[in-house]
Amino acid sequence: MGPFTHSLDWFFLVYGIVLFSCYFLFVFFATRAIKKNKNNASLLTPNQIKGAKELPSISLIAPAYNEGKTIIINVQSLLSIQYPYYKLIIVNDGSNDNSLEQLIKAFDLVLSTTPIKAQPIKSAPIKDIYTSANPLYKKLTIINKENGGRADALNCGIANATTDLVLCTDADCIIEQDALIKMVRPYLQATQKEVIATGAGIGIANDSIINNGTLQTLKIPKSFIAKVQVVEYMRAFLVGRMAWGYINGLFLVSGAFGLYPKKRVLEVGGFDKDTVGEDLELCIRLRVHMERLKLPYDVVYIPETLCWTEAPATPKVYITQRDRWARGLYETIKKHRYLFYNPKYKSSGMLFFPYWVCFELCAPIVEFIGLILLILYIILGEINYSIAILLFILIYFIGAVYSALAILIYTYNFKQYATFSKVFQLVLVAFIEPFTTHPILLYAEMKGYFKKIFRIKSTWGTMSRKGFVTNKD
Amino acid sequence: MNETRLQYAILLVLIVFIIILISLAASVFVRKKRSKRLQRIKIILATSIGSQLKNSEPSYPTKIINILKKELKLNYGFMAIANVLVELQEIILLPQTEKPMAIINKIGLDSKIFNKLKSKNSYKIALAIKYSYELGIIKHCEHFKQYTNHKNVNLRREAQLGLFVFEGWGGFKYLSNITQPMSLWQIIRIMEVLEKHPLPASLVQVKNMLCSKHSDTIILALYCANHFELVTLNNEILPCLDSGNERISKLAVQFKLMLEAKTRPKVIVGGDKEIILKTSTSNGSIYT
Repeated sequence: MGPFTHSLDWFFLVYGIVLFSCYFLFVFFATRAIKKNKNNASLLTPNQIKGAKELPSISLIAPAYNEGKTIIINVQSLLSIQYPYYKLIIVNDGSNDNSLEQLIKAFDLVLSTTPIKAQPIKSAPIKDIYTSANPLYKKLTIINKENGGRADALNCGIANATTDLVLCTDADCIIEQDALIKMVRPYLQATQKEVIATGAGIGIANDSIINNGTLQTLKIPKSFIAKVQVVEYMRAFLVGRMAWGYINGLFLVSGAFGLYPKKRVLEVGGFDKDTVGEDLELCIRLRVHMERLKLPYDVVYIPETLCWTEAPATPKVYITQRDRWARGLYETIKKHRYLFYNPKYKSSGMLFFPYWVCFELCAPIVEFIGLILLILYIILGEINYSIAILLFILIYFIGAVYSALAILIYTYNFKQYATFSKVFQLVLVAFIEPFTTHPILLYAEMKGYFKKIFRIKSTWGTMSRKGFVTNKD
Repeated sequence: MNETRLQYAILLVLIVFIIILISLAASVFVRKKRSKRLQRIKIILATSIGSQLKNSEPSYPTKIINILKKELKLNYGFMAIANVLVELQEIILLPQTEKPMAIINKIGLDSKIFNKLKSKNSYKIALAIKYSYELGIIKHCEHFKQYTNHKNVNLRREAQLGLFVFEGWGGFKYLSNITQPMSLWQIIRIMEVLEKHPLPASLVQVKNMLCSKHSDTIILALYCANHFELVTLNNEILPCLDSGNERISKLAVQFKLMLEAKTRPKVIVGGDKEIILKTSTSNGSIYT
């Protein structure tokens, strides 16, 4: 083998060492961030916030497209949130199913008499706006509009919100009762830096029991692929995002649960309709906007799981989702490539964006090339098996330990999965995952990249859902 | 690199990871045990305070006192007990005169909190201040003053709040020289605390704050003027309309609108009154 392959070997080694070092640095930052968050929470408790007479008002915006299976239970859940000043805006994004009819019947909806105003952000035309005739549901507004996609529906909701803050979520999410109280804390505590986005942990509620729109009993999903995602989410939200939040380098506030100041979202023109990674793109655009205004800002993450969602339970749906995420990442990185090592954008340009390019966008590509090389080396007999096996064990073990650490940090700080059997199951999943779902994930990500590179037309993709397990008692 | 040495290095890394995992797993279960113990303390304290409310001469069995004293010796043990007491106060809604001072003094919680006030850790001091004013330990108040302009946002907030809790409108005199920014929560809480105290005859402290060079001090004074409808501050506030600071001028506009509204009959508009109120009051301008 020539010097080229020798250099490649070194490249893979250095890349791996840097990546794993980053991961363990994340664990360190995340634990510090969780501690800081707990300290802040002990000085400004949810009870104090709940009892306050003046708080920023929030609009909860949830787009719904063919969510007929779960729409009623989810709207009930969103209506039962504890926060004194919030409005719920459900944007029916041109559903073909009976979502709207179900909503009209369940919540005594009537056509709003208020005329539809000119929209500060462009979105597909609004057909009609409904409010409830029942005072019990006075917080609820339904906007029925023509189909325009998730970003378009969110923009429509934001444009019609009359509050200080907007919380963007999905109609299929179960939100914790005290979620808004916890989400608003960074805005209440902010001093010099303006909080431009807040996110929180998202959990997986497949097979869990939902009662009256709230999570009653959290269960480990039955499907293996959903189980893996429980671990993935812990790793991503509790370790990754908390760590980035700690160094104010957070580029992504999840689309399923993100709180933004309405004013700033309107200033940047809302969500981008041309990308499937609209949450990542908005967060980057908000950061760029604040950098250009030369205003200090913060993107905050809350470690607690405040939002529960149904994860893909079959490989097919999982591939569709991850393929879309990969395309969204590619599109966003391409759109904001001017940030790459651009000193004008300070740490966002010099450190955080290059990390996203090198380790979020390129990691699957590096892994894919590495696998091809490995096969080539085996065929050509150019492999030192004793070292290769040890290195393989080490890499496998580091990956699994990283996941196990995320699980244990979660269990240490939050009670949701704090039973021996649940921890054991999740740690076991962390050790099996690299051989089972990880290759599927790699395939999905590469599929997404190929679609983008070779300009293959692709859409959002269908996300079939089973619906939550409900307890009617 | 020598192959054997590489193998040893990899094995060493593996062992380190295993140790980390085991120690973290152990700490998870220690924590679980501790949360169970705290639950027990909560029940003990609730029962004791309940008996205090029923009998004028409360009795605390030595066993209970010993359990609480033992907990106090632990790191952050004071926090656990104080937290439980504060929570119980919120549930039972104890008036200022009936704070569970007997048990606080008996187990030495007040002196433990006082020690934390001298800590080097900002978080511990902030926590000690919070518990001091929430549990009504007025003798600690003197120590809050030094922290009103501290660089740590949580510490200065708690110190300022503590002074307002104990001194009411008199708390403003400690804010005249602050240079550090204020959070929205700080302003909200100060207003809430002041609501519990009668409006003073002289508003000289608020007037002085309106003349301050520091924008956050002016914002607090304007907030206060809007919240309590201090129309007598008209002459001091109207110049703020031309302030270069967007928040100040917006709050001054709200004051002007409030003044005008007070001089003409009220018209009730339709829609969600709660939300209209929220967006039209001072709060709505915080994100400008």
